[in-house]
Amino acid sequence: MKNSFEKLVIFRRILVWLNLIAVLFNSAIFYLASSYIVRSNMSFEFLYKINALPGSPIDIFWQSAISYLLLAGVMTYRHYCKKDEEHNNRLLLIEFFLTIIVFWNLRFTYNGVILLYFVDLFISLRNKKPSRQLNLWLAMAIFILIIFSLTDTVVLGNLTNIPQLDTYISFLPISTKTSVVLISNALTLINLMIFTGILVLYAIYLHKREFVIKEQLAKAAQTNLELQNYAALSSHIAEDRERKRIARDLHDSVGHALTGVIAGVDAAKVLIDIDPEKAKVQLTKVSKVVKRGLEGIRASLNKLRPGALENYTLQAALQKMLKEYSDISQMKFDFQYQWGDAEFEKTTEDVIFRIIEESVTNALRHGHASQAKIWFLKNENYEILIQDNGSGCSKIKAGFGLTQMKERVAIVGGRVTFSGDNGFTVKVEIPKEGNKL
Amino acid sequence: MTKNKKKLTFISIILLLLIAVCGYFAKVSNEPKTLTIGIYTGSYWDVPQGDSYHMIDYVVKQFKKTHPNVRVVYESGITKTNYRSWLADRLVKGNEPDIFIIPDHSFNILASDGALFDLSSYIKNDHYPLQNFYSAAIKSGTYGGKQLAMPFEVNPSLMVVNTSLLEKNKLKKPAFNWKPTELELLNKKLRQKGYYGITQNFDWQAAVRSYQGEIFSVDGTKTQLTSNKVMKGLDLINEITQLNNNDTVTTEMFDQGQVAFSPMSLAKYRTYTSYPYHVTRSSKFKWDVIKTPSMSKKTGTKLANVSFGISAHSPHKDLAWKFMKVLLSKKTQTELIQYSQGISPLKKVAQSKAMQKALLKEGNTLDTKKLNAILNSGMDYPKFKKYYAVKDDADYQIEKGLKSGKLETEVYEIQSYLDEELK
Repeated sequence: MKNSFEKLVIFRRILVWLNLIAVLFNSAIFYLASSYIVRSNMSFEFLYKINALPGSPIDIFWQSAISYLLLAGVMTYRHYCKKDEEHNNRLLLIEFFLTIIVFWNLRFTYNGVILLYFVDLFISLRNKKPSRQLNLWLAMAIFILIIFSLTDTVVLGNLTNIPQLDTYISFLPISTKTSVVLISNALTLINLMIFTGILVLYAIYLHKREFVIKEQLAKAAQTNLELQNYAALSSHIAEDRERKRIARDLHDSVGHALTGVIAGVDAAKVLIDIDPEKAKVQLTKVSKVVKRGLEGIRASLNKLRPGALENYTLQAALQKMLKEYSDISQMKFDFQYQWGDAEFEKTTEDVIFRIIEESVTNALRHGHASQAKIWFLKNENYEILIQDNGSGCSKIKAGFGLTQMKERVAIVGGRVTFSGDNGFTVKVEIPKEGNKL
Repeated sequence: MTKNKKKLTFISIILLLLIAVCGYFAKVSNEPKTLTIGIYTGSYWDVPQGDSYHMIDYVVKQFKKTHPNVRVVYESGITKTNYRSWLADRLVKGNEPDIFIIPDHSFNILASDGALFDLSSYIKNDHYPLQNFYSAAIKSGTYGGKQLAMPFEVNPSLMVVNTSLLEKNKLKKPAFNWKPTELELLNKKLRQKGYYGITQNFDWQAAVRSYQGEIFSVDGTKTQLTSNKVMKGLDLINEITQLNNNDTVTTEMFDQGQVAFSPMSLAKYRTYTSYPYHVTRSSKFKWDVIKTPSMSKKTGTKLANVSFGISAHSPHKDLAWKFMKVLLSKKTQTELIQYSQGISPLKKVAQSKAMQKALLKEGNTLDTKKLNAILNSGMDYPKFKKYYAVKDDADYQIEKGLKSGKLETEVYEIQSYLDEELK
């Protein structure tokens, strides 16, 4: 990719030098041929043949040379000094006027400079995004091409009165004439060839660039797919592992306890008729086993809690979770926690944690929010306000995990309300101990 | 280099450039301006003339009165014959004078090459009174609707009549305004008596002109040799040539009294009627001056002129125009009466007492009243680049046809040949 662009730049540089030669050559013909015409006393005949008098040939030479050097200077400056776009556009416009000036100074006899400007314009427009300005430049490019096709001296000479270089050349002695025409044609040909070459290279460059982008996109899509698969697989594995652990736990604790209970109860069934006292003792033992089993179940269930909550307080766990979230998503949170040291049952904490998690996820995924406030307020009841600046939604549909959220809050005796008017708002109320909603 | 330093360098370079440019222009504007003039030495009308630089020196003196800081320069020693190629060389090299005499038969070429500046804007801005000039003289400087040259002096064609010869043959002298048909008749009668009707100066072009014919269309795309007017003219000259048996009727023969009519330019007339030239003439006959024959008294006169144009590439066009106005001023034009044998294109000067006095000094056959009528009948010609080149071709072909006596049959061939040349 870089290779083909570098080639393009080298070709452009060759074109700049070639045009310098052509400009000097053409303007020199004006001067040398007119000197020859005067020396060989053919002036009047020449006046009869020529379409229009171009003015002083010496002036033509210097004006053309200087204006072309200026043009080449501006082009080179623009290429080596990458400035902001506005600056760039200004320079492109200056180049345009200089091109016209060079063309005029050569009395419209050489239009290769127009091709040069065209190439320069194209190369500098390669990174432009489609916009009104781009359309303007493209219109200009088309305009320039039209000028180019119209400015062939033969066409132009027939349409308007401009001095034709061919007339000058026709007055030269045969041998000189042949070599001048040969050089002139060669210059035009090479110029056109390089121009075509640049266009082809440019097309290849564009094609390659597109190809590379496509390739990278395809790669990204592939990676994405793999990641998804991996995620699915790993969640599956995790689920499986969890299931096995729960089964093992249940087997170890509850299964063990229940086996003990069955055995104890069976023993009690026999003992109750023989020795009721012993049966009581036995049942006490069974009761202990049941309690132990229950503890086992609790312990198992505890392991299902959000990892964060296991080692932190609710506030700290939430802060940690939000920080991680904002790190990943660039979303900003206004987190206010006014609940102080209030302690909740683990189930309640779980529910709160999951609600916040769900709301933040929704704000990001569905509302495309960039900010959200999460306020934990303590009024009559414990209140949580989650409000984002996302798109919200006029009609709240079930899904988005809202139903699940409602159910969860209901379990801890609380209430949840949603509003999609100004961003999306989730309001959760959890009763203080003794209060009822 | 920091960004600021770069900016500073950039600004200082631009400042330096600006100072250099300003300095250059200040120097140039302080230098006295030089106005160059292209003129040739000798008479405009190929007649002997005394002090050939008197007029230009007079004009420069007048111009200097209002523009003391302007240097006026002209190259001396260029003869009229060399002038055309001298100017052509200058034009090709691009160092032509700011204001110059347009060489004979070159106006169309210079005009079509864009070598001449369009004076219309100056004329409009100054409200320059073109109506003060004879209209044919002004028209001769127009090309494609642009006023590219101004007439400095004009030289109309006249007809000199040997009245003694006519009386001798009991023929009535034609009126001042007379028709080509009268010439045809008089010529026939004179030939019967062994005299000649008219000198060879009355060529096919003069014959065609007398019928107001023009061999080219106005836009110069077609030849109209076979048009009614041109054909009549060609018939006339053909008849005269046939009756003359292809004899060459020279002006010497007119001087010797063998020919009744001889077309002559005003400048030639004035030269040969004035001292010392008239003494050399051996003629012993009475003569008169009338208009060249024409079907209409309003037109039909060939009007040669000397005109000035301003170079399209001149850096001093304003000054050149001011110089032009001095050239065309009443004062200059009046001075010209004494020093040149043509006549002013300005109506007032051409009809002035000074002019009348000059004419009377030269003889009593021509006065300003007659000249005024002649100048008012000036004829314009089509303006296109190839005019003179193709007309030269036409001249060669027609003369050849006249000599061989086969013009009538060859005229269509000549026409198609010329049409080809015009393409």
